[in-house]
Amino acid sequence: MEIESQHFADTVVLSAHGRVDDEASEQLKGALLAQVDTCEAEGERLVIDLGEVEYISSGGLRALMMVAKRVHSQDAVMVVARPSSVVREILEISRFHLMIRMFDDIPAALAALSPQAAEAYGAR
Amino acid sequence: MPADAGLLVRFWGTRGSLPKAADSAMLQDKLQAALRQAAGRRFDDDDAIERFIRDELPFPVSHTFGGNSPCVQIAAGDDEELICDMGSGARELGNRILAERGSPRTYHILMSHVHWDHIMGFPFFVPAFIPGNTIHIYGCHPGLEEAFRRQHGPPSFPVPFDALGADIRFHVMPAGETLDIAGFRVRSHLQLHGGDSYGYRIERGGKSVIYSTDSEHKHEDEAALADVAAFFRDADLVIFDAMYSLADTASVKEDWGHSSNIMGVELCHRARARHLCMFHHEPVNDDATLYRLLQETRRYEEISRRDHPLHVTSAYDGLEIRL
Ligand SMILES: [Zn+2]
Ligand SMILES: [Zn+2]
Repeated sequence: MEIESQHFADTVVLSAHGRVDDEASEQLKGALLAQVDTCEAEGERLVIDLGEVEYISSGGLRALMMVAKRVHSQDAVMVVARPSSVVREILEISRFHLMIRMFDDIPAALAALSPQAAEAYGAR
Repeated sequence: MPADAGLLVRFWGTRGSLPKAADSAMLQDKLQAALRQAAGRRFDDDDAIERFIRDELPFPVSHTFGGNSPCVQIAAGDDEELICDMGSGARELGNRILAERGSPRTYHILMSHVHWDHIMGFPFFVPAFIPGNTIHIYGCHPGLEEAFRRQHGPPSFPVPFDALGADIRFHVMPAGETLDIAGFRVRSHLQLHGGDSYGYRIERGGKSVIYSTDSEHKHEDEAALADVAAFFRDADLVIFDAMYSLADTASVKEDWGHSSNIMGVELCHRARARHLCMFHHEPVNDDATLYRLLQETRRYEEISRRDHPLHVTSAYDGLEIRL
């Protein structure tokens, strides 16, 4: 699994690629928790882009839950974008989507978080 | 039934925290759904109606998950059985055993813990009132006997504990050890729950049932999860506290002492268990919701399956599972 990040104005888009199996979920958790802390410290918002994630294991789901918990306890702002249909199913069955908002694409996620970020994304 | 004829698990109470009565609104919803589906149909006799109800109506229309609090009977033949917990379902269980087999009789009751929803059926467990009966109550809590005595004390109940006719004996077991109870091998496992609870691995004739209710599993605690998976290892049936959603157990209901359907699937997959039975249902959930949760859990099992399939059911009052 690979994770890359891009900045659009005051928002970070973190994109994961590949399968989030139990091993990759540790990596994902570490990267996301660090990013949540940074975003909170700098007043930035965070989009987790799952568009290139084809599967997420129970370990990956637990990692996302831990991140969601941290987000809630810190008043950070995080959303999920572009979950594949099977990933969306997993997130819905676990009720993760009631903790963290999900969007079908990056522009919609950015528009919901920050007009400047949406504009920066459009002007790429 | 000879000892090797397998086990019969019968659910008398499956609801968590508080019994839930059926109400008129629920009944009207079911009638409406049934009539809608029957519209334009002709039934020549009662058999045809019965077949329609049995074969064509969806489960949440023709059934209810019921509303009694936890009580599960694990029987090996006619004469040997264990009863797990004394929730409100114990009233009907006691009446049934009395009607079918009479007195005197010896009962063996295994207690997960002594929260009220798990002991409230005992004052209405008629075998306890009948002289000649013997009732053994097993558990790992030092306060086991006190909890039973207290709910019989004034002003909560009119019959004092010492006036009960049966010979009632309490057995506090060391946690984590394996004991022989009425021909069953029983191993206990300390669980995370307010005031502690204990899960039981119950084995007999090569079959194994896990009774694990009122138990929280922390996502972060990998060592504890591995421990539970080892306790569930290769079980034929895992009766599992699936009261909340995974998200709830990670947020608002964290530390409330209960678990989720997703955690049940994960632990059973890890343990290579054969059958997950969702249990200790949230009283807020109606039949349609509980049925949807079952379907979602089956779907999650399918998506997350590793190498062998896990059968998933949701317990309801009256369900029987043969092993
Ligand atoms: Zn309970
Ligand atoms: Zn409890």
